[in-house]
Amino acid sequence: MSALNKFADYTLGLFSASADDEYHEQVLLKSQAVGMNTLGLTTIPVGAVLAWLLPGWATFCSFLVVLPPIVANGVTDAWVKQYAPRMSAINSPKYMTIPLIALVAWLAGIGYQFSSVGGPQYAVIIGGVVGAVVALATVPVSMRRNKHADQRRLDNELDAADLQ
Amino acid sequence: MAKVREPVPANSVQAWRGWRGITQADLANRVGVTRQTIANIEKSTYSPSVHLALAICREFRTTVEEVFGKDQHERPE
Repeated sequence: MSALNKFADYTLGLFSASADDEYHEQVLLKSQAVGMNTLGLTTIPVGAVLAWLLPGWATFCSFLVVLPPIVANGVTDAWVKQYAPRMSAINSPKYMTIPLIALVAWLAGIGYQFSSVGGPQYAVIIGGVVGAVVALATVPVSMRRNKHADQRRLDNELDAADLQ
Repeated sequence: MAKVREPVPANSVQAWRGWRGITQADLANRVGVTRQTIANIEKSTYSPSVHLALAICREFRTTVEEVFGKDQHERPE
């Protein structure tokens, strides 16, 4: 068994142990989905605040706040695709409004602090905006492809098991 | 593939509990869950596992069809 599955089993075991019954366990697990989503949504505003607060070159350290959600998403994806297809991107402009506003504020903060040490302010902002637009255009497509690939792979595994 | 997320169908757990004279707390205790679980099953906000559904039906001395399926709402003899 992989280290990932051991970690996942241990984590799920903690939830099972703390739950009173199956309904309680299901609600607790759903609450973690809400929490995970909240973590993702709060990361960008926190990054924006740090970008404005951290002086000069240190402003780039604000990117460190995205590490925990990225690692958590990586672990989630690696675990879930063993059992079910990974999730598609959330396609909701309303949902994306606050993160996008915070992202603009983040880039502006980095540009402002970077210019205070003589860096090219607009290059950072333009680079950031282009990066964000490219990510917004490609990530949903990539997530959809991953989901379909997972579905095909899992179906193939079931077919192979049927043949044995 | 079509999405299969449908609302939890109604059940007659509450009616059967009334016919058998069992309280929510009693039923919860007998099948080994909390009262919140029974309440949410009755409100159809939670669909129980097969094992829990069978345990509930054993307490009512009836079948799953009569509590959760198409034969529900038939008052027992």
